[in-house]
Amino acid sequence: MENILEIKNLSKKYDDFKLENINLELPKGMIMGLVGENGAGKTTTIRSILNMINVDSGEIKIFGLDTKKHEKEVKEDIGIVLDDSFLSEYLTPKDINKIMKKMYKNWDEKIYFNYIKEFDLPENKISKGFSNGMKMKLKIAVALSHHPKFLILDEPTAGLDPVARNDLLDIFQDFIEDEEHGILVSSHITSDLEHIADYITFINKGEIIFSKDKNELIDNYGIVKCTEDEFKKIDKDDYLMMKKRKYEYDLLVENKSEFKKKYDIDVIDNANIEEIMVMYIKGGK
Amino acid sequence: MKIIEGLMIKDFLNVKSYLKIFMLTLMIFIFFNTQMLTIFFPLCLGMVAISSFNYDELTKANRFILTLPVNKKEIIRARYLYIFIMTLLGFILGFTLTSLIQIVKQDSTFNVMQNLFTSAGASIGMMLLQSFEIPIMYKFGAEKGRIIQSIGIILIMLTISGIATFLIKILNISLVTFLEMLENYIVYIALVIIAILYICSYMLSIKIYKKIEV
Repeated sequence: MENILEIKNLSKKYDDFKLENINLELPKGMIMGLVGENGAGKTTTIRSILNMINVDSGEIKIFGLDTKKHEKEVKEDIGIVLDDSFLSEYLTPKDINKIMKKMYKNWDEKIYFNYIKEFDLPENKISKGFSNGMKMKLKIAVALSHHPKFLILDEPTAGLDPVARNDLLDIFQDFIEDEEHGILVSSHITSDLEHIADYITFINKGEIIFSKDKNELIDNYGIVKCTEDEFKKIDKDDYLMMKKRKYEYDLLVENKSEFKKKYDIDVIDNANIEEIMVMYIKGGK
Repeated sequence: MKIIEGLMIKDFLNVKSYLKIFMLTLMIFIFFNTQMLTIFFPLCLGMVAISSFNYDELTKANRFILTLPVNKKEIIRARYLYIFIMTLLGFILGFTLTSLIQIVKQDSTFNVMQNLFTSAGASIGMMLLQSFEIPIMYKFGAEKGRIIQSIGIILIMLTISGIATFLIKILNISLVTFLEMLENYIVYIALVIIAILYICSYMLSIKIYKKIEV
């Protein structure tokens, strides 16, 4: 399978934070969810992909092309929603069309105004007065209107109500139906990602903890609940993370069924992405 | 070129709300002191142009812009062109509108050359300022930039007067003769200086912006 995005050994050091040795692969036709706490490195990773920051080392390829050497070519074909940044709040959706049609060779007014209509956005009002949800919808309309092949979305569902969020997830599902397309989406609303993502990549403190098939994660990972006596019998290598509660221990295990075979413990719950995340962040060994 | 156009359109559209305020101010000046318009237009449009940095900062626009198929050099080029065109527009409006209004009002003080020179002077002054302002804005951001810029202006004044004093001293002439000497060439000298400063400023901004992480 061809990759739409490939990151090799990406590192970037700041005074108080570093991204270390990030390796990622996203095959075409897939959606990858990037999860992690605020400040874990999701946005820094996205900014590195987009050449906004000067990375210390590493190689990034989109559509098989080096993003540094083929920057413009690559950017013609990606649609981007950034959480905290947009063109201006003093422009109307109509103004934005005037600007964007100069920016992208493939800008499609018709699609853009269709989205504006579909999203119920007023064409002739500046976006300063828009609600957060409306502002996000405007960004998404802009990101989708030049026939992009790859979407990079930084927290696109933040600030949206459940209905709008669902609409949006539908749009992403439609987009990915074309097998040449791909989506990289960061979010801390993990349930959204559980709906749509094929892969989940979990970043913590600037490092990738895992990048896995979502179904594999949900099917295999589990949370074992055991007493202190039971816990003492468990080999350290057989669990990933441990969290001590008042009277019991929670253990995150990579493979529920194997664990069950080895130990005589009945209480193993399925782990969702949020629980896995919390175990990694709050737990220990 | 299309992309540069797009970026400039963005900056123009951002400030279109200023237009109403401009019209209003124009009315006031027409009734009270038309002559002031020659200076008012270049100064105001020059300053409005610089406010593009503030607009960008409000929504962290530079991050978004860098996701588009543009490179940093084009972003800088678009910004300089925009600021230059706005200031030039200020000069043209300052000169033509003032003259037209004075003709219509049959103002006895009407003097084409005087209008031309005051408008050009104000525009050149504005551009002198901008050539320092723009790299500062890129380096320190619009907010911090304003403070550093005021310190910069004082330093520029001191440097200019320093150079002038130095020239007067080595040429061993009085200030009045010095100014009289300059009078014939002042426009040319100013234009050459501005051109050099603008180009240096542009190259410096590119250098600064390439290093900056937005």
